[in-house]
Amino acid sequence: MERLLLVDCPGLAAPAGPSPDDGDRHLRELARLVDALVEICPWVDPVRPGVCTLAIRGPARYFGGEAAVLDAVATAAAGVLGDGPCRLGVAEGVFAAGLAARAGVVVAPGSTAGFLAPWPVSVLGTPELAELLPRLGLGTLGALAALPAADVLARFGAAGGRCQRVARGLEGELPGSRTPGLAARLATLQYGVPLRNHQPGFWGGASAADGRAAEVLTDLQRRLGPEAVVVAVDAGGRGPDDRARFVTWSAGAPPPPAAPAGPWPGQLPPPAPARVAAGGRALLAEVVDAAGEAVGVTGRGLLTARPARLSVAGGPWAEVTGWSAPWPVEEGWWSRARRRSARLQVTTADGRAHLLDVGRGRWRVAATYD
Amino acid sequence: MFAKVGSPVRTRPRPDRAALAPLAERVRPTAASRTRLLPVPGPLVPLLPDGGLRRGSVVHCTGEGALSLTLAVVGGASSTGSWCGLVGVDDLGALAAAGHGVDLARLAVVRAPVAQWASVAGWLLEGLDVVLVQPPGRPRPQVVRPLVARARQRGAVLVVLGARSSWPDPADVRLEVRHPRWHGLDRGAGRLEARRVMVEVHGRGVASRPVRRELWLPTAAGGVAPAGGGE
Repeated sequence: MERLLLVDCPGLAAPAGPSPDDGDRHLRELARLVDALVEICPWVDPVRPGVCTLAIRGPARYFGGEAAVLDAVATAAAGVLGDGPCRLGVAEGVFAAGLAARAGVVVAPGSTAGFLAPWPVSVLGTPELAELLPRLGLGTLGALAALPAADVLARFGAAGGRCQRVARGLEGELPGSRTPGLAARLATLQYGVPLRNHQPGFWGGASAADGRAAEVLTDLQRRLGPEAVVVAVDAGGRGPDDRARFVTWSAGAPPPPAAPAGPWPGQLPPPAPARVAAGGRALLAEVVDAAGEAVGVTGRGLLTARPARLSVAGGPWAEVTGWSAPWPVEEGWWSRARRRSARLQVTTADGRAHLLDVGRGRWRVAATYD
Repeated sequence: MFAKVGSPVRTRPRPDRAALAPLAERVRPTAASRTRLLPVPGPLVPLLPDGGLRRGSVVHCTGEGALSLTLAVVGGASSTGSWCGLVGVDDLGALAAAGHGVDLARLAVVRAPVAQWASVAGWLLEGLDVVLVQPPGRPRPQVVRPLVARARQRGAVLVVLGARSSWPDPADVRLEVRHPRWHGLDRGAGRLEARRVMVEVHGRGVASRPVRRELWLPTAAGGVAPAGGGE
């Protein structure tokens, strides 16, 4: 089971009464705390309001021991919470780590069951068990752990069995101890996006759909990294790949700049190609004439022969059925190096159409009209 | 000289977002609704059994030009406020998407490791109205079925892009692009102006005789328009 450092901030737990404004304030502070902890370990897991954990093994290697990680976390937490209460504990699983934080201890690896044994069964938070077990003379987690598993299942059902597995240190957490969707909610708060069904906000009119999408995308960014979710903005420019630019999506970001008025000289005429080779990932192509000789482009931007066949990325040859006159391009569209090349549109007998770029005797597929 | 395009190929002007907001509110369905439809551009209405994208359904676009068809299929929903997610296409031409009415600010393009395409798609289906996915290779049925189930459960539309073998389950609707012919380009002259295609519809709830339509996809303005003919 994963060894966890649990941060317990009772001051940030959900207020008892229904007080949405106040709840937001508590969650906002928790979001700030999570962001501060992400500096120490990227995998911070908000469990419920006021409580988050991080897997300590990785940062312990990086910081040179668990004590150093505890110091770093305590410092980061103090930066966010000030004098507010904050308890730290280390153990295996969320449940044991929570008790370790309550006691302010670091439980040695492999001794979680022993650490849990003396705690009263009331810490399970299950009223039936908390009332019944002490009357049976089973007042502690250790006593519950020692019962035959089949008896516990028969007497207390699946929920009781789960409690026993937790008491034995075989499972990390109890059902219901986690607030669903908390990570997304915190990220949403932190980045200033209104909550679900919260009016108004967002660009182009707020909607529940915008809020839902923001939650899902923020969570995806937490899993895959922020740069994994991008949106396109119209950036102006001449080539198919510098007209539109992909930028990292960010919840609550201002609306992308409106497209500057075109057209620009040399801009690719519409319709736009559905596939555009990004950056340096343009596929190489070969273009030959009827005799099988490679077709090139002269210094004055003319083709050296009539194209007859095209092969993309070493694929099968396709008969060229049409091509445009080449037009010169001065900016390198796949490299930063400025150089001359020519560009032309080509159709093939299989119904495909490409935008090809030729320079220094090399053909590349700049875009495909999929 | 080059061939002239023989049909009006101008599309409607870009929609006015403010004017569409009340409409967007009305067509923005609740997650569980299975009867609500997301709008599609007019020329595609006759191709879809319900006249729109039915929430909870799977639409599979195949053939040469499938990406343009996919963009056209979702353009109506996107321009009325629906969020779209895209997985598995890392070379999207954003201008082409915009030409089909896709609201680029509400098109989330996910760049994830190829092996994670299904989990990313599943995650997007949790909160987005429309998820476009181009699966790598031939995914196994046990990989795609949970995605179909989630789309049904969440009332999202899953649009699959790729060869017929790229989706092992029968989709609710399969749209196949056939006989693509580009107009405007000659030998050494002209430029690509528009592509005429035939789109054939297969799937559940579709008449046994396949429905076919001739379309301009894209038009010279980058949208979609009927090209006459068909059945």
